[in-house]
Amino acid sequence: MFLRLFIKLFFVDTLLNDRNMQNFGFAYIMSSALKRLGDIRTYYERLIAHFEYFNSNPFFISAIIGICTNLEEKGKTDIIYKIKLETMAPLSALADSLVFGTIKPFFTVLFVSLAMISVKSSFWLFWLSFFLVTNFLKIYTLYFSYKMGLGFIFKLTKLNLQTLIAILKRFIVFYLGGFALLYLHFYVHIEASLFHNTFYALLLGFLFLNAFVFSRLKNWMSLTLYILFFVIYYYIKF
Amino acid sequence: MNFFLIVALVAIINTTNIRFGLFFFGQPLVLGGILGLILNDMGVGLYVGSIIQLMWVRSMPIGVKVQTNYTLITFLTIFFIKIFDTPFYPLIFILSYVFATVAKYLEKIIKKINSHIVDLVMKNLKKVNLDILHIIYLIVYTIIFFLFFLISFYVMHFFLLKLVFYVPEKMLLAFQASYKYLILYALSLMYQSVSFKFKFFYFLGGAGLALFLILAQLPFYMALIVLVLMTIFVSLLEQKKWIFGGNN
Repeated sequence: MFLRLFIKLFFVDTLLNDRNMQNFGFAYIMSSALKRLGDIRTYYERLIAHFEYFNSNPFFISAIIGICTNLEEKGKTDIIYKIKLETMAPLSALADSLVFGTIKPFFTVLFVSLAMISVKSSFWLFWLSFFLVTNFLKIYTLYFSYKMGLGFIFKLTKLNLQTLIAILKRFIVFYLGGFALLYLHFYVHIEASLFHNTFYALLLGFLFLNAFVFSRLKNWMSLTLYILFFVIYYYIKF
Repeated sequence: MNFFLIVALVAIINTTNIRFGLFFFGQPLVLGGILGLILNDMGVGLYVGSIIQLMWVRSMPIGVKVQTNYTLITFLTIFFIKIFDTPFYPLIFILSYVFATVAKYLEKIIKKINSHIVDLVMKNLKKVNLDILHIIYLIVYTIIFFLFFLISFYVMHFFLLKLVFYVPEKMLLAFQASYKYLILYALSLMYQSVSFKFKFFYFLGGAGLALFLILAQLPFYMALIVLVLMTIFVSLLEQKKWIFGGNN
C-alpha cells in the first residue's frame, strides 16, 4: 500500500482546480488506502468525504495522507476532516518555506554558479539533487506519518526544520557574495579597469541598485531597465 | 531531431511541471541543458537556462497563484536566439514573456474547467475509473499545450521576422554588449530570493572573503573550494552547539 500511495502522490495536482484546489488529488490518493480497508459501500462513502476543500504543499501532502490513512485504519473517521483542516495550512507554510523558499534557491545558486563556469553536467546534477531531496521528503513524511499517525506532528516539530532553513539561507547569501566577486575577477576581467573605466563602474552601480531595489519589480520590468541602461549608455557614448 | 518532436518533448516536460509529478525537468536550467544537448549548443542552453532560472527562483506556486510559464520562455528564448542570434534577445525575451503570460491565463482557464470536471466526477463516482480519467486528462492537457507551444512558436517567428528590420544599428550594438553581462544582472536578482536578519552582512562577508582570496592570488578552482568550505563553516557558526556542543 505504501508504494501505491507514493506513486499516486505524483498525481496530486493533476486535477488542481479553482474551487476546491487539491481535493480531487487528495481523494484519488486516499482511494487506494480506502480500497484496502472497507467494503464497497463504505468505500464510496469515505471517498466522497475526502472530496472536501483541500490545499497544501505537494511535497508535504504526504504527511497528511499518512496521518489520514493511519486514522482510517484505526476507524477514527470522525476527526479526519478536522485534522486535515488544521494541519494543511501550517504544514504548507513550513514546506513552502523549506522547498520553494530555501532548497530551490540553494540548489539554484549552487548549480547555476557551476553552469556559469561552463560545467556541462550542472543541469542534470541540479535536477538530480532537487529530485532526490524532494522525493526523500515525500517518502520520509509518508512513511513516518503512516506509522506514527498524529504523533508525527510532534516528531516534525522536534526535527527543528527552522534551523536547517536558517543555515541554508545563510549559505545562499554568503556564497552569492563570494561567488559574484570571484566570477567578476576571473571571468569578466574588470578588476584593473574598475576605477578607470566609467562603463564598468556604472554597470556595477546598476547591478547593486538591481540587487537592492529593482529586483523587487516584476521580472520584465527589471530586465527592461537593464537593457535601457545599455541603450542609453551607447546612445550617449557613441 | 525533428522540430515537432522537440515541441512534443517540451509539452510533455511542461505537463510534468505541476500536473504530473513535479519532476523538475521544466526548470529553466534543466530544460536549457536538455535543449542545449538537442541543438548541439550547450553554451546558449546553459546560459539562457541559468538566467531564466535565476529570474524565476523567487516565484512560488502557492494557493490560487499561477506562475508565468517559464518552461515556454526557456524553450522560445533558446530556439530564437539560435535562429536570430544574440543581439535580438530583448525582442525575443519580451515576446516569449507575452506568450508565457498567455499560457498562464490558459492554465487559469484549465483550473476553472477542472472544477466542473471534478463536480461531474463526484456525481458519477461509481461509473468513473479514476486511473483512466487521470491518464486521459494528462494526454489531453499535453496535446493542448503542444498545440499552444506550436502556435506560439510560429506566431513569434512571424512577428520577429517583421520586427528585426526596424531595430536601429546602434541599439543592436547595445543589445549585443548587454548579452554578455546578462548573467550578472540575473545573479544580482538572487539577493532578494531569501530574507533573514543581517543578510547584508553575510553578503558583505562572502564578498570580503572573495576579495581576500583574489588578493592572495589563489587560482579560481582553489578559491572556489575555499569559498564553499568557508561558507559551510559560516552558515553553521550561528548554530554553535552543532559545532562546539552545548546544553540546549
